Amino acid sequence: MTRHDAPVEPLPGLVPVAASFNLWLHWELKPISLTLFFLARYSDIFSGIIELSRRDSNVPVNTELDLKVKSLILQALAEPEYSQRLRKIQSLLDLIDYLPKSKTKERIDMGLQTYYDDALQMTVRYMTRNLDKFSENYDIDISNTTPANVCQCLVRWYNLNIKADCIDVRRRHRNIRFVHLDEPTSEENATTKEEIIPDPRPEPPIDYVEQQERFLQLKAYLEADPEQRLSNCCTRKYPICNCWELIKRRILKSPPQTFQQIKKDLDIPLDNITRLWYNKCVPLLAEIAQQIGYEIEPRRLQQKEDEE
Amino acid sequence: MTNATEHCITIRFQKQDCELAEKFAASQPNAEKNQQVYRNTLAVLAVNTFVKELRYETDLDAGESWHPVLRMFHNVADLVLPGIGKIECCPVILGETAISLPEVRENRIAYIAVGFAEPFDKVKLLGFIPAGEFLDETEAISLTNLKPVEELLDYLDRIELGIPVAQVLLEEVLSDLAADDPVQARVRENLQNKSIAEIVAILNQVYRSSEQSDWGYEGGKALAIIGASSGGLGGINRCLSIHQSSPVEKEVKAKLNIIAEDLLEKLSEIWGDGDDFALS
Repeated sequence: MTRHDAPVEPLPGLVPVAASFNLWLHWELKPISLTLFFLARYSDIFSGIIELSRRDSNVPVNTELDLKVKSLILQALAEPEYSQRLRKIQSLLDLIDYLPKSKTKERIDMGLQTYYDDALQMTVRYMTRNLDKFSENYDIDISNTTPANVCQCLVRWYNLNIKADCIDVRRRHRNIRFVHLDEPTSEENATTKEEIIPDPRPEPPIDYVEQQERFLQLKAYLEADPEQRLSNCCTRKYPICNCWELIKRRILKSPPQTFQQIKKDLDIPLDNITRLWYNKCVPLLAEIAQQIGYEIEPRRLQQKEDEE
Repeated sequence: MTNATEHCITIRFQKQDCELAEKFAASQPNAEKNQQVYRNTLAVLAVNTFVKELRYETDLDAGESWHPVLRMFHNVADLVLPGIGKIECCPVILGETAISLPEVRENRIAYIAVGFAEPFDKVKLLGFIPAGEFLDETEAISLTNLKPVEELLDYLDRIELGIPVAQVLLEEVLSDLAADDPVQARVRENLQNKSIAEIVAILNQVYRSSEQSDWGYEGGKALAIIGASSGGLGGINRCLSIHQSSPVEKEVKAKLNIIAEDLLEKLSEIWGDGDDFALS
């Protein structure tokens, strides 16, 4: 296979043919004749070589390479066995270096080149496991999409994944937290396509009168703090910094105040405010909502110990 | 159609995504809020899927959009990336030409436009805008200003790399600032006004748009503005007062210029020239 950017030498036989055009009497037909000649002989002359027009035109032209890539993707999709599909993907990635704009080792950011080889192994596995996502992500029906367009989408998908994996490998090397995506996704656990595609959304049978009443009850509780649960929940050092004060400023006020604004208004260290908010106020809010009748997951109700 | 939206990514929902969105929406007090929470939940789930595909960790539960009371009172669709910051997922209905920015914007490092069209079985991620690219007072961003969503990977990488570097340097700077000096107290206030991730996001914008010789001036100006713009019109007024330049403010600005330049020099060592995604 020849790289798309490899120089193309004119075939020796073409030179005398082209020169013979100069001997034609009807000189005004020369450009047209020459074009027709090239079009007719194009596939013979450049068999197996990327077309010349792609770099100059926005209209993708299907090439033999594009056809091969599309065919390999379809073959891989038809393989139910992981190992068979992996083999097809490996063949596919052997070709990807020849596709325009693909992130080869030479073309990826300098800082990531060191991690490329390790990342490539991960990318191969990821693409094998998630090949169904490819057509979803780029919203294409591979069978009915032109090979050139399939190739363009594949390059985008590959570029994204190889770079994400290079960054992930670098993260591991630097011992920063990472996410490992080598496990099957939850989507793969779905048994049929019907399980993934939801039905059109039915009109929810919601009693808005009841919901509105409950919401107003919650709002009234937060505004009045009738049991002083909110105002009594405060930092020891700064009683003014209590849950009721924060709720008034961050929930009932529109637009809500930022922590910085509250810090300035109350003249209390930012740390004390955010700790109280996240450790005490947010779980207390859930607790009050549950008391009023909202369904709340138990983990939302757990207040964290404040070190103060 | 913009360059960014031509390169959107489609995310298809699973049945359980729609069920969860319906569950969150069901407890809202009216139909309008119901629709808002439904779309916000799906927008967050779609971005969550994409960000995880980029090998980044997420924490749905930590977002305000996942809290039963907070989402009832505010229009929020935040997705938490632990150790990095939040991405706001902004639903865009077919035909809309801009994303409305939320009123709550603390710790947001980016805003992603999530395009909805009936039936809600899938959405298109239309593009994103980094937090440092607009002023706090901005209420909406035109879709034509979005960056291709695939470039989010580069952006998150820069923020993730920048946070520890900026943290070390800022800690050093803050420990050297005296509390009783009015200039140094103001500098401290400026630096503590946003999270480290937000500061890195803002400096990233300066780095991308300014010559190296302007890093101090442009970076200092950006730090001064974030210090002043803690929300509302008070922010704008204070921002303007910096430009009116009392002696203290001049000194604050000069100090911030030096800090910004130092930060950008350190960050440039890890950011390098970067690499824009080749969008074929």
